[in-house]
Amino acid sequence: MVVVGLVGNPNVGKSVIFNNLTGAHQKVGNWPGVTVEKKEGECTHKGTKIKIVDLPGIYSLTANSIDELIARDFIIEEKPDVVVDIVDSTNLERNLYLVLQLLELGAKVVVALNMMDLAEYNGIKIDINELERRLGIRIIPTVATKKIGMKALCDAILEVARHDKEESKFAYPKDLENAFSEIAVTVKEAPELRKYNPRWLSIKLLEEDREIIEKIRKTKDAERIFKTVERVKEKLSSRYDDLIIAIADARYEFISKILKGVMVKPRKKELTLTDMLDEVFTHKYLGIPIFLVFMWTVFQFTFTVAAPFSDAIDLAFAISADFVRSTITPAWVASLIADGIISGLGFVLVFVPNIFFLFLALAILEDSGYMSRAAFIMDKLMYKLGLHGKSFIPMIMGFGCNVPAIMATRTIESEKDRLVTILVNPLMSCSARFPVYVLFGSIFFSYYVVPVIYSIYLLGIVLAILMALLFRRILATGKPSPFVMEMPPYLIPSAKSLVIHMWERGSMFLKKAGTFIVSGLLLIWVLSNIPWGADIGDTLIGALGHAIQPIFAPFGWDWRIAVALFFGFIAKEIVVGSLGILYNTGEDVTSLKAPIENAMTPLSAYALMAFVLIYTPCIATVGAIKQETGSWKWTVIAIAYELLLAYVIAFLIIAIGTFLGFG
Amino acid sequence: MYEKINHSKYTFIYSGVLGTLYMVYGIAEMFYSIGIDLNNFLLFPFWSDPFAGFSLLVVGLVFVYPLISRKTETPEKFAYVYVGGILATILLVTHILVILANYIECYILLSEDFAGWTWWNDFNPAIPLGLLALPTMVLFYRSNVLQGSQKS
Repeated sequence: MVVVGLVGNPNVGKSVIFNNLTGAHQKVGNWPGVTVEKKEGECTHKGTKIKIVDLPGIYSLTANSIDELIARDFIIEEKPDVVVDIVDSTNLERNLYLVLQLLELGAKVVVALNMMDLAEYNGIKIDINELERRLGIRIIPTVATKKIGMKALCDAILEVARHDKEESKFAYPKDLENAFSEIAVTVKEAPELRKYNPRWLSIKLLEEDREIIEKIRKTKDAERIFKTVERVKEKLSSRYDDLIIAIADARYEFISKILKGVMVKPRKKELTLTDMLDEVFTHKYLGIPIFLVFMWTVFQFTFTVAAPFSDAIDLAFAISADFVRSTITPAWVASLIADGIISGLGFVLVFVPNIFFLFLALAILEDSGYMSRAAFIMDKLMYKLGLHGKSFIPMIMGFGCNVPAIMATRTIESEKDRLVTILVNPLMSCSARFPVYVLFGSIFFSYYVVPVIYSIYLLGIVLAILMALLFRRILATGKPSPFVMEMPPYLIPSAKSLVIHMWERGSMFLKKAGTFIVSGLLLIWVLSNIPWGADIGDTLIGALGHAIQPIFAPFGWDWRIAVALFFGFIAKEIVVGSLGILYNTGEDVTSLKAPIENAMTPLSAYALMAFVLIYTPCIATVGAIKQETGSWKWTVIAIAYELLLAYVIAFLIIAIGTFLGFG
Repeated sequence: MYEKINHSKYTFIYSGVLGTLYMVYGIAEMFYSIGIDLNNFLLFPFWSDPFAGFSLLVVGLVFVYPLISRKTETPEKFAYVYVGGILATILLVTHILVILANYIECYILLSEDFAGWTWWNDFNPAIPLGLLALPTMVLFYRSNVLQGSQKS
């Protein structure tokens, strides 16, 4: 078996090539961190099995972000037989930087020169044979979206895997090469560092790579190695003001040299579609209002256009539950199935169209390339608000689900920026809370339901901004680090990729429905029927509700709402499903209208919607926070501050609303 | 590659007039959402959604921008016409989908909440204005910039 690591800059078509080779589905997105975990697949070519590991999209192999460390550590520790670097042929100068670093690491590299059709369209001509000769590695032209070059790529992988690695043709200026050699001699003597390429370690030491310095610090030869490095730096200081820049400059100089005569670009730069759209979408004053227009359209699409599909599902569940009640005995089994499973699940699945429509809309914005522009225009504002520009993408992802959104913060280099983004991300209202807004919005605000729900989302954004500013001052002082991000060309998304992306995210909701939510609702049904036949207020769940209801008394919420919020910790979708069981209204959402209208006022309903927006995230999100922060302290802080903030905001809504006469 | 200079003047004038209409209706709809009804003057029904009005206003600003911009380069000015057309089309499609969705609620699902509903209830200035903006999309389609935007 041949093991291959797939690397490349973000947005070069790496995931498309991975899909082409392995047949697995991957996200082809424009966002940093879209493949934060390594994904594997297999294919067979000419009788040989090839295992392919899709590594995160990275610009270099420095230790600036977790993604870069993941990719680098995979190559060092797991020593793949071949590393395939996917290169954007329309941007060779930048993409070849990573190729050089891979060669320095000692990897056997094959370059897939992707997007050749786009290069041709842009009038870029590349002499691939000459480029191969100058770099000393195999280069395969590909068009991943049309599956062109995949066979040739596999041929090259097998060929390179079978042969020894050739001497790299990339050399630094003589004084730097001498410096590397001097440090390499010392590094070679350390037994703990045997798995690393000594020359590569030398380069990293002169580049002051944090992670490498830490690794060496733990070795017995640390003092000796650092002394040598200091001595070498002293010698080079007369020639170079900044060694890190000098090393990077040397790489770019080499790239310029090899591309001279190999790549020809058209002289006159014509205005492209991307240039024209960016002129408007990234406009200093119009950019943000245009973004708000897109968001409003997404909400209309998600709520109003999806509504008839939701109602159709509602009707289907109502008919199913009626059928069960009329045909199954004994009564408690019929009740368990009809009122517990069907009704409870129905309450949640009725929102599947809304959620899928939301993910479809977000997929259109992502796949077209607009999302990165949105991140760009928001960066200046984000910076002023104490958030990093790269925080914008996880924040937008939070509208779908907070779990992958929190995981997407891995590409934020600064730990402080990352921590602040993780802490405020749950305030971005995820799709699981959407059913609660739809239910209470429809009951109490009818014609105004869309602006009311929109206002809840805006409230979440405003609170996220305020909390980010607060956290910046108290917990993570200092300015956010500078924001560098690539904006890929605009593309017309294909229907297939949109459906795949929509399904990948929406199916997470369905899986949750089939596991957490069904289990949670069954638990609620059991607790609400012990003892059997008793009035629901006298059951175990009634006891729980009455015990915690006084906390919510100022908001005018009864014990049923308290119980629903309590179980909402498992999954927010349970809030709606549990209300159906607790109010014992049967299987369709509309039957909840009367009891809820009697139990609350529009003001207390709005306060509830705000509370659900803000209060403690679901168990899966809490798990993600713990995983990404690596700290129980920050996880507990996240839970506690959100509970407190939710209570305060709900209280303020009630107080101000009552004062203004809405109570 | 670009529209010829002698056509651009008329394109920008059309864009300016369209943009003005969008802005007028957008502001009127925002007023309507806070209880100030200018319906008698403006023919079309409005939604009680200030964000719907805001969307119209933004599209209007995009269309009007080529007339007020200090940019001298025609291609950049055309960008505003094209993007205005894209936004207008998105709003047009969205509003038509809303009408279709509510049609399904009323006539197929026979939802009680939609008893007595007609398509005029959900009609919005974004629809006729979006139809007026369609020539800008034809212009965009015929311009060479659209070619080469490959599917992902």
